Amino acid sequence: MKATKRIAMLGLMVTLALILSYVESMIPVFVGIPGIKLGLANLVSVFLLYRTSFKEAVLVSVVRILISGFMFGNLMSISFSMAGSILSLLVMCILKKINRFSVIGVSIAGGCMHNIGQLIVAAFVVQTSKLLYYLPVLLISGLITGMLIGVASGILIKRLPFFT
Amino acid sequence: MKKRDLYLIIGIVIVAAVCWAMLMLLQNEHGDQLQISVNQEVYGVYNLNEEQVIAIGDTNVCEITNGSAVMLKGECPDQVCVHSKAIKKTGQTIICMPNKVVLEIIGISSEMIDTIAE
Repeated sequence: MKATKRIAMLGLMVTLALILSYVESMIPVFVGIPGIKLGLANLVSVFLLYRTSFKEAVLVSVVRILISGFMFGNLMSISFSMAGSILSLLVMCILKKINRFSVIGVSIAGGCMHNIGQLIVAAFVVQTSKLLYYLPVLLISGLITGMLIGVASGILIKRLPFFT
Repeated sequence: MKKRDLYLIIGIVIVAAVCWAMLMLLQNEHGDQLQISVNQEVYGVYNLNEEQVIAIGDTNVCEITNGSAVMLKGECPDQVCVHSKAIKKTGQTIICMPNKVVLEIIGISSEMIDTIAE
């Protein structure tokens, strides 16, 4: 694929992820528990991980988080998102490499690690071990959302004509 | 490869269940003090059995009624703290992350475990 086309496509992916993250922010999910989200923008991340490479997935995610952070969030939200996404992408890349799990499994792990990453940042900020109380909930939520994103991503990876 | 995924799912559920079980065991029914920390420094310790409204700095307000504590008001964009359920058992917390406010129920059991852990 020509370099210019690739750059344009990746730019498109960033925009897509931005819109997805904005749309999901308007869908209320469990207002009581912090950090619970659908993770729709991860559709783009997982898609890129499978259709292009780890580097592109990280690049698009980082750019998206920065832009989204400057537009809608603050330094704190950027740190949380960044920690969760980087950790999640690292683990997903490793799991994909060992080739024992399907997209769904990889995405489930990604979802869980995303939440764990955010919990770790929170632990630094607030410094209570009591944050561990959120771990079981976040694990299950990461599992469920990871599964949904995994199923959807699997379909996208098979059907979308981008990045062939 | 879908089967391996199932093992992963079961594994995660087990880890979550074990964590939850451990946390449940460490909790004590009868917490009777509320400790409020701001930015990791103890702001004050209050009796859970006394009905009172406590202003924390100028960003949060919490209230103790009926042996439990809730966050009445918080100057923060997400309002997670305000929507949190009332806490009354030791170890339970309400946290306002943007303002770094932590409400925690403490009692003898929790303090002893923390000192032993240190």
